[in-house]
Amino acid sequence: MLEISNLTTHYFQGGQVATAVRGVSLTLNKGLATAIVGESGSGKSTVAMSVMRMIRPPIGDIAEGTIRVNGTDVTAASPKRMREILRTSIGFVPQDPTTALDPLYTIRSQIVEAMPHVERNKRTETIVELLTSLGIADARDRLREHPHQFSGGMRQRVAIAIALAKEPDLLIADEPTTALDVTTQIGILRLLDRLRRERHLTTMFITHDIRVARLVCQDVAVMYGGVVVESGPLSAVVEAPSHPYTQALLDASSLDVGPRQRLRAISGSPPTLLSMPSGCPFAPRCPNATDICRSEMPATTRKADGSSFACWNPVAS
Amino acid sequence: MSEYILEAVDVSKSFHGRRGETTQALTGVDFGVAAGEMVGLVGESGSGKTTLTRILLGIEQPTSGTVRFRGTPRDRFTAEHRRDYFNSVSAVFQNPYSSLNPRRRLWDIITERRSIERRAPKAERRARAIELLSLVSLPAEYADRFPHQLSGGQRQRVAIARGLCEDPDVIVLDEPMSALDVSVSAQIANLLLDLQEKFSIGYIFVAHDMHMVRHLCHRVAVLLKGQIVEQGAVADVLGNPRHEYTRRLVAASELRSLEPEEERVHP
Repeated sequence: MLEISNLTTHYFQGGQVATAVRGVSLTLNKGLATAIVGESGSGKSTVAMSVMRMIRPPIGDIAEGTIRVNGTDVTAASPKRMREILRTSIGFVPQDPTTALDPLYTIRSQIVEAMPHVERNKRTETIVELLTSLGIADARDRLREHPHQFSGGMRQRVAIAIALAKEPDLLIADEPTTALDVTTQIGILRLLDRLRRERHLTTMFITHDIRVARLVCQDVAVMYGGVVVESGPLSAVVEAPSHPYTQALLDASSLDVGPRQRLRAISGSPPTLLSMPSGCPFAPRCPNATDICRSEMPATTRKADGSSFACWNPVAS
Repeated sequence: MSEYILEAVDVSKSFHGRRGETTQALTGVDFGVAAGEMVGLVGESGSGKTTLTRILLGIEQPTSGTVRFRGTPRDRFTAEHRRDYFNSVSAVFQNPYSSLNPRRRLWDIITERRSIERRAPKAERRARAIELLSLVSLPAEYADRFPHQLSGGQRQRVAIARGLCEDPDVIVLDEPMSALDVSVSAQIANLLLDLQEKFSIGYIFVAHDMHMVRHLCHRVAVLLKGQIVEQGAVADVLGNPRHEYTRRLVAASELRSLEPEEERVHP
């Protein structure tokens, strides 16, 4: 469905070139949800923005690699073809629906924009159906309302409706529950999971929280410093992580050390785009790091359980 | 009840809107923190968590009820009490990117309190700043840096150092980890525990992350629509929640899989 190979994306920052994504290869299987897990600056959002070709000069550029959406290479697509793909194939759910929705337009007009393919006299019906299936009660009466009349969770449902109105094949959700309350989050996660199952939606789920990823995703790609350090079936990666960063991330977010005991934190902080080490980006914080880690990027190793990792000194299993 | 250093007693707060409507932000809230104790304050957005902490910090006045510091109600504060209160209660905010003045050097940010309170000389402030930086495990050279030169986790350490400047007895922590990455927020959690052990500070920990509350806090209060619906030891409240809202909160944080049959239970 979505095949990214050897993607490298730069940002141009005040005359300097910052490489946010370095040689990322990733395949999203049809009808499955793939989590892209990483901290801020890991390049997870840049991968998604690259797929939608939203990184263009003067902000940045895709320097290398191909991204195939349903077989079409979007890195080579003409602007016209790209608009066509965005209009029909890719739906995007933003992190914060409050800023993504236009406060001056009604809900209906914002959803209609995304469904030019539906006949005029059937549009209202289709929207009502869509909103109802997304769990918005009295959808018909609410079409003329504005975003401020909806709660945070309901606004996110409207944003999801906009993404789904075009009946996309690929849904990209960038931290869709981070701005919501804990109890509301679960509702949105259930909804995304249900939509994936019912509509065979391929989902790219970007998150910093591996716990959330475990709830909705089948596959995972763990990113750090612009590279995918480990990827594969989520259960395999979580149960037997090979990359020390994946291990550390799981340790830091597991709180089963007993109340008020010290957590197993990862010392140091993630690299910034302009201070990226030449070898493995995690080397400066890695307990297993040796000389080669600091100078050379490790190649990707495949494991029997279907997952793969890029590390010179993997976690002993 | 007087063992609390800082407490809100039967506090209510209402805000008046432009069109004359009244919003009841807090209703009859009793809440306090003792020395060396960490109390969690949880609730959805709009539940009144921030209003309550602002009242405890003295930024906002309650409509009715009172705030007591070391047993003395605020309306009976002498000048002495007032100074003690403002020096002994401090805060660390959610976003270390917006809570530090970008034009000031770190030593100046960290010890600002000292210049306002006593017009302390620069040499004294710098010396104090270096002490505080070492408490939060930052090198002394950082004293002359600006906030933009630091990462998010380092900035939050600076915000904590500022909170420690006047040896406070209570620190209000308003979601101190939620703007940070997972690997960094574990460091900050450990730092907060270390500091509490060393100085027996009382923490009020406003949070969304139930895992962190369960891990760090002794007690927890659950706020819903301006009222505390449940309050007590963390193990009791989260282990055996009585109120429907607490139950949903705990269920949401403990979820291990999205079983389809549960879908009907939580619309």
